[in-house]
Amino acid sequence: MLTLVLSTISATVGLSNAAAPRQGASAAIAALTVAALLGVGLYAWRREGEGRFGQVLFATGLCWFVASLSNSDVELLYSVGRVAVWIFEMALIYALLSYPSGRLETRPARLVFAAAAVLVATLYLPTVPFVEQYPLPSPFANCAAECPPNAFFAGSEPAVLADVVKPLREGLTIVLYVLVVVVLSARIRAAGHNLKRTLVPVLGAGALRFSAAGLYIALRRAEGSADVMEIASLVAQLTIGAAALGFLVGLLQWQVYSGRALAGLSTGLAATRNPAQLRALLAQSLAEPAVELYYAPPPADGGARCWLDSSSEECSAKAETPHNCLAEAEAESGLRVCIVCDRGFREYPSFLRAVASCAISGLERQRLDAALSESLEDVAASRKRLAGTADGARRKIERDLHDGAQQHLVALRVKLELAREALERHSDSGTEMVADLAPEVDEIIEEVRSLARGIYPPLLASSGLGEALRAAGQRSHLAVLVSAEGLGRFPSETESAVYFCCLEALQNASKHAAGASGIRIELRREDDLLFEVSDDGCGFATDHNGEGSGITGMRDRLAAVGGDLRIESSPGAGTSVLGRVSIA
Amino acid sequence: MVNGMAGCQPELMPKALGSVSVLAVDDHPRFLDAARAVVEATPGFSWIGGVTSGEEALARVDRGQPDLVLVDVNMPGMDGFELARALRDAHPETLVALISAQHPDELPADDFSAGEVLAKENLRPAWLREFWEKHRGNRS
Repeated sequence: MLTLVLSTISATVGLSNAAAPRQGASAAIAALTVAALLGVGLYAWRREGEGRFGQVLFATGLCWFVASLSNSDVELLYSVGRVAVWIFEMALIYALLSYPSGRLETRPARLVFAAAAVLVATLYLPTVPFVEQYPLPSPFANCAAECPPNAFFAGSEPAVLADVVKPLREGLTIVLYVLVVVVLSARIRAAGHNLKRTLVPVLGAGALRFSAAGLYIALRRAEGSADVMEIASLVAQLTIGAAALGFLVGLLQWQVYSGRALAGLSTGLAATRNPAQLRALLAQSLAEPAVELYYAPPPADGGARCWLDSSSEECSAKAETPHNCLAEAEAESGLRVCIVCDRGFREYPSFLRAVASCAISGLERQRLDAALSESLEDVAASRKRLAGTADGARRKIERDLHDGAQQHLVALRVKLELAREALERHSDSGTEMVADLAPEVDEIIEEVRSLARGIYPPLLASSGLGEALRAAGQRSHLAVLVSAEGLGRFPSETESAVYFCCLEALQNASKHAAGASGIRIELRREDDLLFEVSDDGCGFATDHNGEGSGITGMRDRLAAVGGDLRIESSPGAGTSVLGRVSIA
Repeated sequence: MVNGMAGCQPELMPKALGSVSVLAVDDHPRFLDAARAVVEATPGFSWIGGVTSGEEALARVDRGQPDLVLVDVNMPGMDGFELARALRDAHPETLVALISAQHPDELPADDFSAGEVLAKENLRPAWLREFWEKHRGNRS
């Protein structure tokens, strides 16, 4: 709204000067320049990271608005406008040199701006009360020859002004403009190829404008013909407009570039499988082949952070140098990423934050994917072991049946036939033979009973964990104390897993806990079902990697019903096997 | 000589004159008991012993040939088929009868058995006699 009002005023001022030649064109250029500078300035002001430059550009636009009053035929407005032109030149130099951060980052830029300020403050502004007419012709005023006098003129113009000051300041101004062009050109050359696309429209148009302005002053000093001066004036006016539009084009170029880069990055992120692919995606999305990616996995248990490059080779932590720029981010897990890219990106901190945050989410996803597939592999391995254990158990039952009860029954059948034949012959030995068979049948019954108990103890089904483990304890050669008060019942798969784990621990203790006076089995119901099988035997040095298949089998059994297992032991201090099964 | 052998193998008895001497090979001692009872209950047959592996059986047959060897098919180490082949090659005059606690249909195919494997529970005096009668002609 403000932009619209000020550009309208600027146009009105220009048009109101009916005596001026090309008043329409001048007014239009002035109004469009006001609109471009203020509009782009306000737009950039509101954007995070570009706010300071937006303020600079807005201030430059305001200066230009006041300067455009020099199109007026009203003496005061004209004079204010002509003085504001000098301030505007200074502001434009600052805006160009500080693009896009709004700060004069380099020493040459600071020196050039300081020179401009000193020149305006010493050789331009102090002359205001001493000149009857501002220098003519001027590309800032559309009055060709009949321009209003200086409203601030104090009455006398010292000769030194025309003889020394004006030629000197015009010469210095041309030198200053050449320096501005040199600094801007150097910045364009130094920029990475990506930043060139946003810097070139701004700095290129700026360099063109100052070249045109310098040429105009030189031609005026050389008293060029009216036609030449008119063309030079038009060029000077047009290049101011072009410089203003340069800011708009540069800003839009950056928007397009950053939008494309972030869109490419976020769309490609899901397809990356490792840091090397992520680096390649960054290079492709940012169109920066040299971009580097480093990451540090979450440090384990407060250990030192270890940095890796995109090939997952260990490397040192990266630091910012005058030639690069770092973008860093950290995930909640503690995973960190550091992207090293062209120093020109320093001017765009919010963009860098977005890039780093895309990268960290990609890396975090990769890390979680790897962890997930590792745990899926664990689950698959555990399932395979369980299937193997179940298969082994079936084969054992088959062998036990074949070698035990089956052989026994076969022999019994043969002897029974012999007894029958003997009885048929009315031989006494037949009765004896039948009598001898009875203890053999008893043996077979006990054998089948024991086998059935090994498959699923009947007591476990009928009376629960406490009773079943007490019965198992009575078959052990060590004294076994079972405590399971108020335990209650659980799903059969839970009871079976806990029973066989306790049984395995009991058998292990019976076999290996040399010197143990007894074994204690304790079962408790808290939030989970907890059990502990402990002995006071010789103990052993626990080594998770070297544990036997029995303990792995116990872990697998418990894991299948949502539980886990822990072993506490040390030489001479007994052994405790502690298990937990979720009952939620 | 006989005493010396008996000293090495106290469970093996000398062959009775005029009777069919029988050796049984089975890794289940309980079945050897039953086999012994059957052989002893069969007139004209004499029990010379039971051994629990193929290797022991070969050594025993080398020392004094039995007329008939009852061989269990399923044994750890040298199985019944292997033992039967080895006996046929080294002592063709000794008759071998294969026996098994498994159903004959569940046994692995082997040209030696040719479908003639006796289910252990069917071992009885009548079968012993029949088997001997059936095969004695080929051996003599």
